[in-house]
Amino acid sequence: MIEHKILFTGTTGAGKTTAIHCVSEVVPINTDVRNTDPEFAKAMTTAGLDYGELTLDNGEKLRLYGTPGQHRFNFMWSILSRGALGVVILVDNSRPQPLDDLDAYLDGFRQLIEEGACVIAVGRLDTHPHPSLERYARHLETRQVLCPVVDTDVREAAQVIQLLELLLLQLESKTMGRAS
Amino acid sequence: MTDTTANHSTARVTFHFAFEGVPEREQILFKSFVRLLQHRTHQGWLPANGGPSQLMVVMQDHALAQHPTPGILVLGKQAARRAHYLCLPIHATELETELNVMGGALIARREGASSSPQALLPGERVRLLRWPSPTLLSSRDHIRLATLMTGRPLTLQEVQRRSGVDGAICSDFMHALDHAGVLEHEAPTMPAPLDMPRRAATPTPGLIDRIRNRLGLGLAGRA
Repeated sequence: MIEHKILFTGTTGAGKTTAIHCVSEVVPINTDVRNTDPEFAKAMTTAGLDYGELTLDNGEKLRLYGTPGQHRFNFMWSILSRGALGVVILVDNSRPQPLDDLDAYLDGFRQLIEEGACVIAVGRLDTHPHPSLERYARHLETRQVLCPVVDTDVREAAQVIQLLELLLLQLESKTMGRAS
Repeated sequence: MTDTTANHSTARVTFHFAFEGVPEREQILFKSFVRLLQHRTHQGWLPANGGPSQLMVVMQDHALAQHPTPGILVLGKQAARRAHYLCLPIHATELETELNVMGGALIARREGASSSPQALLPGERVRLLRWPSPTLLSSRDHIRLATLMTGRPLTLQEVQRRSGVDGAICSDFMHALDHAGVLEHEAPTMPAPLDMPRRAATPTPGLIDRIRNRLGLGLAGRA
C-alpha cells in the first residue's frame, strides 16, 4: 500500500495535536502525559508523536505526523522529513520570541521546505498581534524562504483544511511542468 | 522629498543603499565593488550614510528591523538559489547584474506609481519575490493565487487556469502585486541546485487531486 506523509511541527502548545485531530479520520492514539514543565500552561503534553490518517479514494493513505515540539527531540525531524510531501509550521504568537521559534523549524526542515511544500500558520494573532504577518513575510524574505504565512486557529477544522489546501497548491506550483 | 538624485553629468538616476546586519568588512568590500562598477551599472548607486535608502543589503538569516525599503539584497554563504541573493565572496559580475535588475525594478515602481498599471504581457511569466503584505491578501482567493505563485514562474493564463479563479480577479491581483514590487518578471535562470539526494517525496500523478477530493475540496482546491 502506497503511503504519503505530511508533517505538522511547532513549539509545544502551538496546536499540532489539535490540528491533526481536526482532520484525521481515525481516533488518534493518545500519547499525552501530564505536563511537568512550568514554562507551558497546559495540563497535558505530547510525549511521542501525534498521528492522524486519511484514506484516499484509491486506498492509499495520507499520514499526518506531528513532530515532537521540544528541541531536544529535533533529531527526529530529519528522520520524519524523509519522504514527506511537506510541512505545516505552527507558530504560537503569544510566545516571547516567535520569530526565533520559527527559525528553529526553518533550519530543522530546510531541505524539506526547499524540495517540498511549506505553510506557516500563525496562531493567537487576535490576542497577540505582534509580530504581524507583514513582519513574518519580511523575515521569510531575509531567510530566502518563499511560502504562505497565514493567520490560523487550528481549533477550526475548516482552517486546518485550508492549511492543507495551501500546502497542496504550493506543491503543485513547484512540480508543475515536471514530467509525470 | 525625492528619494533619488539626478547625476547631472550623465543624467542618470542614482539610488542609495544601506546595510543591516552586515559585518563591516563585507560592507567595505561591497562599497568598493559598487564604486568600481559605477561605469557599468544602469543607475548610480551610493551609500545612504544614514539617509533614506531604496535598497537594504542584509546578511542571510538576519532579522530585518521594522523600516520598509523597496528592495532587499541578501548576502549569504550558500550557493545562490534565487534572485536578489549574492553568495559570498561577492563577484563583480553578479553584483552588477543584481544592481541593474533592482535598479530597473525601482524605476518601474516609481513610474508605475504615477501611471495606471500596464497589463502583463501575454505569455509573460512571473512569480513572487516574497510573500505579499496582508493588505494585498484581502480574500481567500488572493491567498490561493499567491500560493500558486510561490513555485515556478507562471503566466496570467496559467494562474487563472490552475486556480479556477475568475480571470478579472487574477489579473487585478497580479497587477496589484506587480505595483507593490513583489513580482519577479521572467525570472533569470538560477544556478542548478547542489546535487543532493532528495529528502522530500515527489507527488505521484493524480495524488494532489486525490488528497483534495478526500478533504472535500473541489477543482484546484475550491470547495
